[in-house]
Amino acid sequence: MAIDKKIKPLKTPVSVTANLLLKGLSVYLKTDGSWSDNIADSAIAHNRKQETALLELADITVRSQYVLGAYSFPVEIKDGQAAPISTREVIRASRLPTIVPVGLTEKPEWQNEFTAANANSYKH
Amino acid sequence: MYKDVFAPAAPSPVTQNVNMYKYDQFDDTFIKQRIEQFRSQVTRRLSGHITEDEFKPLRLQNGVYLQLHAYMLRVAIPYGQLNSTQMRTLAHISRKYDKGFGHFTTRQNIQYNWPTLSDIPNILDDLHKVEMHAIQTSGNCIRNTTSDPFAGVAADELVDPRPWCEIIRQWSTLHPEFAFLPRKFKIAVNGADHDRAAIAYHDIGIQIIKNDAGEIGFQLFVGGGQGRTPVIAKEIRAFLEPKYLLSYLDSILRTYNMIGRRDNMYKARIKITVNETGIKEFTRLVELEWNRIKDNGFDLPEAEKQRIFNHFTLPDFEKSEYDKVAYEQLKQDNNGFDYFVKHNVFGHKEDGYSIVSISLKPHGGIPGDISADQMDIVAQLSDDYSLSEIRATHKQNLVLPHVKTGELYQLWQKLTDANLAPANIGLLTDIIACPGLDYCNLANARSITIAQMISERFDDLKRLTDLGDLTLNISGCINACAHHHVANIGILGVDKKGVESYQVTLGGSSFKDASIGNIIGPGFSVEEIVDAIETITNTYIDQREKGENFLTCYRRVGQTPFKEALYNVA
Ligand code: SF4
Repeated sequence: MAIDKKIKPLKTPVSVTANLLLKGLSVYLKTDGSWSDNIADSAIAHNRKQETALLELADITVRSQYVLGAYSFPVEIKDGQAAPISTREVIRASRLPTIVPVGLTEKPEWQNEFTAANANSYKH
Repeated sequence: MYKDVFAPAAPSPVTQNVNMYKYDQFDDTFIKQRIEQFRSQVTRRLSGHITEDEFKPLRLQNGVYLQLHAYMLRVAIPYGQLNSTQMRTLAHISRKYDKGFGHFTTRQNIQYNWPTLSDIPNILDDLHKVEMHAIQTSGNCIRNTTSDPFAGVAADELVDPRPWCEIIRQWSTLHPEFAFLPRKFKIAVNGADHDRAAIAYHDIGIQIIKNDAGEIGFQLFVGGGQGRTPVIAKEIRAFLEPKYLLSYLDSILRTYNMIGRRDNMYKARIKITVNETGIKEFTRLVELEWNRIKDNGFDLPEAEKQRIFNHFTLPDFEKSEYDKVAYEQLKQDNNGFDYFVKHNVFGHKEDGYSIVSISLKPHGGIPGDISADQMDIVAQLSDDYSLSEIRATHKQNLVLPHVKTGELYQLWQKLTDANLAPANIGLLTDIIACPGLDYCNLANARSITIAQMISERFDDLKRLTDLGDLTLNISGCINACAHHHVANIGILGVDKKGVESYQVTLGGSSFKDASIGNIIGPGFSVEEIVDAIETITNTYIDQREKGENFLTCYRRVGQTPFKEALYNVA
């Protein structure tokens, strides 16, 4: 989103995230109102007005029961894309625990499975 | 849920060889109906007919949470008792619907971290086939009643608490008055001299005792809890005749339901009610209600009580003789087995039998996590060595309760092959850790990673044995699911401007000498916390007197030497 100079900027830019209703996976709101599993795709708000607009956009899919629990959270901008700041959001954006679950010897590639199965359904 | 109006069902094929509660027609029908009800609720949610606000209390009552990455389903294991068929089903569920593992919790339950919402009714169906469910594993209701994992077989036990736990389970399941309490409500029952159920930290703690006249009864405590305000429960009645258990519990719950606060969720637990009302006044109100309702049909008819007790008759144990000299020799020849017997094997009521604890805390492992393959192995080992019976413990371990002492060595070898034989029960690396920020939506910091780093640092069994009895618990936020307040060394994860930090408490205990740990000073970063724990254990070694364990030493010397060592202050 373009920065509107007349409106007081937020201390830190924010993006909007939610969980998919069916699987609970974390997803990120894009500018066109669809959702991505990649935080780098997410729309970024630089001021309150933009943040409110994004939350209102998210609310459309919350009301249509596609995602739930939408909220905004601070991000930093790297190469023009949103990246998480807090440890919580870093872990959430990775869509995996930071540990290797018992019975596995290396980090599972579960995201791929989800991404392949759900890539199209993110467009709503 | 009085059942005498229903015809008893044929003995359950699932549980017939194990001394545990078996479903009858009533239970069977009731659980089936609940699953269909939930299936319909899920369908309506997914089709957009109900909102999340409407659905949330319904899913919570069926054990379904929304966590950081996915839904989580918590399955009830009543007072921690399982049979091998049930364990195999838990393995099957984790393979078919989840990611091939499960996590045992501090309420002796198991939780799955990745189910899809639409699969959950099918999971409940599979659970139902082996007489299990997920009812009341969350929400503001009476949760799974917990107990001593050695119940029924512990050498130091006065009375088996399991039949009483079962009576409480049936009474509390969908109790119409107590489905929407001000907050969640937890009950624990202990029947042995040693408190292995942490009753002092429950909303109601029940200790089975014998009075001066030699009669068995209950000593009741109320208002214990952890969370942001840890409180040790206070005695509400020194001795209660067993026949009045339900009317007395009813009276406590009614009083709480009436005067417990609903305006502020942080002040809604009964510990706050008791604190604000005063234990004297709270007791007076409870006794007033009790005197009004007792002997008025609130208690269990004797025949129904007997019906439940009959399920828990101990099996006729085969005679178990073994060559004691050869057994001692095996220990002498094999250090690993010797440590295992020292730390993981406990006295059984029956001569020639032992209780075996299976530690789910391997080197660098995730406390309480177990793979589907390991679940199957435990099920098989319970068939081969423990009369098909298994227990889950509130310390996130498992127990095989009836092992012939002469077969311990064989069992130990098989456990070792499956990475299920860490000989660390009760030692520093027998860490309780909640899922923390790796899974939990409420977390401030990771718990599992810290547990893994500590268990890697303290890997040497000789060193651990020298440190002796020492509890270390790690919670990822102030909700204290991992009971950090009551550990000898407690670690609490906090959020410092988006960065994890760890606050340390010392001196807690969850046993009979219950105490709440004190914060030692400013928190430590992820990089610092393991060194801090090592500084604490080194200080204990410097300070201890002969035979003194960590807690006794800490209580004698106080915080000062630990503070000085940790923060370099003289
Ligand atoms: S203590 Fe906090 S972080 Fe840990 S499981 Fe409980 S709520 Fe989650």
